[in-house]
Amino acid sequence: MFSYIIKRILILIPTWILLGILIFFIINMIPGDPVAIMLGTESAENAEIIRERMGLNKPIVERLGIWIFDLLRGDLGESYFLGRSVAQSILERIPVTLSLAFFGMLFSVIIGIPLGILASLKPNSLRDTSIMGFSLLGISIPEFFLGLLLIYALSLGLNLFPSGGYSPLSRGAFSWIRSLFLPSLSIGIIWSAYIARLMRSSMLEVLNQDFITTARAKGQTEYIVVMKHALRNGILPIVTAIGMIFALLLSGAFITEYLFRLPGAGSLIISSIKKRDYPVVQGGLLFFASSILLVNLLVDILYAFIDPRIKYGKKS
Amino acid sequence: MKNIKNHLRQWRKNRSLFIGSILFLMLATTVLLVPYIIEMDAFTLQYEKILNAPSKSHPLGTDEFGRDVLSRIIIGGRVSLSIGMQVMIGTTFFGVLIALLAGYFDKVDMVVMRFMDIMMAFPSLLLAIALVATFRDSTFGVSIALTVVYTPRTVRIVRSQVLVLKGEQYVEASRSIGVAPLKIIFSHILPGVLPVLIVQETFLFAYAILGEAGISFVGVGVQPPAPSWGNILGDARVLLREAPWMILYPGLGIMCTVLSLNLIGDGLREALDPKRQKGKARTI
Repeated sequence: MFSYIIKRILILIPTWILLGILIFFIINMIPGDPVAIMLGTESAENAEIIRERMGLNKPIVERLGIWIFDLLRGDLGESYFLGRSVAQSILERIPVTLSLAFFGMLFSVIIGIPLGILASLKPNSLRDTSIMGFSLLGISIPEFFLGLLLIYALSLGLNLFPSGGYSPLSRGAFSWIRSLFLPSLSIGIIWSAYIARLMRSSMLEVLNQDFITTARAKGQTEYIVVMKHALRNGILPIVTAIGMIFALLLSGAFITEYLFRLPGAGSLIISSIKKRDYPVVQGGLLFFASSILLVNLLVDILYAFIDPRIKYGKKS
Repeated sequence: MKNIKNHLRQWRKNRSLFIGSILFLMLATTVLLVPYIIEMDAFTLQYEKILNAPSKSHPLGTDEFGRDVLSRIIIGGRVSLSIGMQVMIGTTFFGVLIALLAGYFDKVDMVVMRFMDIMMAFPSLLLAIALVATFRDSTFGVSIALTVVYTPRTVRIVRSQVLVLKGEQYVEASRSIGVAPLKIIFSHILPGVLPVLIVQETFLFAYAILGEAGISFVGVGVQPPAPSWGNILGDARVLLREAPWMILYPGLGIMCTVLSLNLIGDGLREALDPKRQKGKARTI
């Protein structure tokens, strides 16, 4: 177990360096000159000076070397336009992204797990069919379309929530939650559809097993059979899924961030791509990819602890 | 003839597949054929008609430049569907090729799967956005970018099937009588991965449409004036109060297409691959 964890961590290092190289080349393939965007129509003379100061006049191999070397020291570089370091500008936006991912996850679990259990208790009944119908709709609707509908109904129509913008926790918990409510709800509904489907099939599998029949034969109440015996086993795949979804939400919620004008890390990358702010895009992509790698590692390790049947490092 | 009747009956009995394919055919024929029947003009700017509500001459109203919204949705639907189709074809071709070679040859596997792991670590749509930026033609760029980020998914699923088939007796038998590896791969293993592949690619079509819509919505996918369901919604975002008709129909277009593809995928899975559990069709 211990050696498995060490091995997994050691493998991360070359993966991470390769990741850095790959990102560097993708970003440098992008046409368009950040210096030209920065200067507008000013003289070419200034452009040369600025290019030299940004280090853009060096050959590409040398720039790659500098980027990788800086990475290993934990330095992601300076933004062209924001006037601060890349790491700092990403870190500033992490609280927004984290709170959105957290509340989105919360909604999806609160809605998805009960729906999945309810559907699994009476398979193919009207209740099951309608829950699965809802889930199919949730899987098919784009998150920004759902978000727009929610804004239209609850924000423009009933005026219950702001249609966008972020209010940090330091300015009061109530307005913080209010500003995050609609974006989290739209993410939550969509992912609850996925969780409900997963929960249902996992519960169905467990409910068909012998020990459930035994528990029922013992005369256990249905409530205890479901909540105590079946749920404990049925929830295992959901734990992995929740970890994965959380990792995805950290980076993948950029569309929702953009729609609701939340200054999160995802929307930072969008605006940086539009401005050709290479260092931020590079650093941001690397940051997200690394966090996904880390979450995957954690989930694997956690899973080995939760599920004693899994033995890593031994060929089966 | 009897055989065809039999297939038709099975098709009708499989409810998801039946409803899904009817819905998809309806959408696809509308988007493909209507421009030949009714004259569509998705590009002319008419400043005297800015943001008109739905009326007789413009059934779905006009947008912020006075363009006919119905025409833009139909033409945009063509763009969205053709991107989805291109991504499906691209990921099938590259995904299957890589998966077959990696699954069959262990040495290729080591290198390729390491690379695939790295690709899978990226948040797919953010990577796609960076890739789209490297192309001058945004519509083509979106297709290529989505193909690149979605190919690893196909590779994963097909490769695991190749690994299973590689251990089967009939494959071992052909190897022992000296059939060339490439012949084994293409005529003995490839047919065996088809059921899994077909199901996977149906869902991938749906992802690609959602993916295109998402990145065009934030303004870094298909670039105006070319319409796509995603960028029409992106433009309409700020006009929600003034022109709600601009969000409803493109949104419904995406939703119905993705819904129909998810239904088809579920139905095909039921028909082709009964062992696997129902429904896992969502990624960002």
